[in-house]
Amino acid sequence: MTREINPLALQRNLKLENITVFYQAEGLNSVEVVEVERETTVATLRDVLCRKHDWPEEILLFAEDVDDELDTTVLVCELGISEATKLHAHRCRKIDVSVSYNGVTLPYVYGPSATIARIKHHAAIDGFHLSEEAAAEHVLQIKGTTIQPQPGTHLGSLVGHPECRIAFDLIPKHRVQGASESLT
Amino acid sequence: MAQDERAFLDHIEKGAFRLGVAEQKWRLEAIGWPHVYIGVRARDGRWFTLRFECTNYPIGLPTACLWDLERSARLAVEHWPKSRGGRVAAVFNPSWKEGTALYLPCDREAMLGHDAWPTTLPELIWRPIDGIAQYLEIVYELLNSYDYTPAAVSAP
Repeated sequence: MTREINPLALQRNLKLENITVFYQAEGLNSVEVVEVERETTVATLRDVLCRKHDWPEEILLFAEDVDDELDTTVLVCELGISEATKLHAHRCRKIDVSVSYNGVTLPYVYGPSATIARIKHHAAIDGFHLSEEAAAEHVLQIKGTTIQPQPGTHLGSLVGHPECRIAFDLIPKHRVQGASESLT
Repeated sequence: MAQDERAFLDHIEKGAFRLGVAEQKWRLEAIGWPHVYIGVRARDGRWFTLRFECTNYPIGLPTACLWDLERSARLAVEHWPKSRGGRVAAVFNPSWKEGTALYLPCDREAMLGHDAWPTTLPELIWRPIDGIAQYLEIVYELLNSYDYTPAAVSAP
């Protein structure tokens, strides 16, 4: 028996009294979610998250792809983020990033809420002058590993404190290929 | 409720799946365990439904095919996403196993006989801890790549 699902049923932020906050953080390897009242301040949200995860007091909150930390007096509902409220929690204010491609390494500095997609765009297009199309066929891989973070991954979730630095290689995306007999 | 279905329902309550829904990258359309129907949005705004078979989820890999909900049948080939000859064609290949699965290392049917994939394509190997959101992220990326081109006929 197949039961129909309302596609909006999972979007809890439609409830007027609450707002759904998606967040990534230092030391977390997944996207977490919390619901808070609309009148919640950034400071209160930070306290809620610190209690939930047993984080130290020096944790700072950032909006996705905004390098400066959030004003703690602002209400979460006033952050003005359209599709989904996406935040990041980290102790590093800035993270040193290097991206290597074809033997050349470029340095960057980002806030911890920078997405992998934003960093790749800067490096591939602005830094290494790839076309939009060519850039789309490349991916950032953490140097010395096979880890290729998703485009929506926040930089800070890959970096610890007090290191506050990471290195990537810009490499072509793999095409799925197998034994020829398996393709028939 | 079976343990695998409960694990799946737990996973779609997690942030990664819910964020994808909020960003309209995918949407849960129906569940008829062990089958799950999830739509994934392509670059041109079209939605492609995947029918997942999720027995033993998440330890067991799922397998998925393109599906036509109105006809309750696999999606006709003329509606499949097309490729400019790159990565999309390799994954959405209607002539491979008659279109019953996507040619991806995170797919149960595709993984059979590909012992080298964990070494050559480690980023695409199924990760039970990430679950269905990992499979969906991979498909979403393909359907939003430059290699994706609309089907010859619009998806129903």
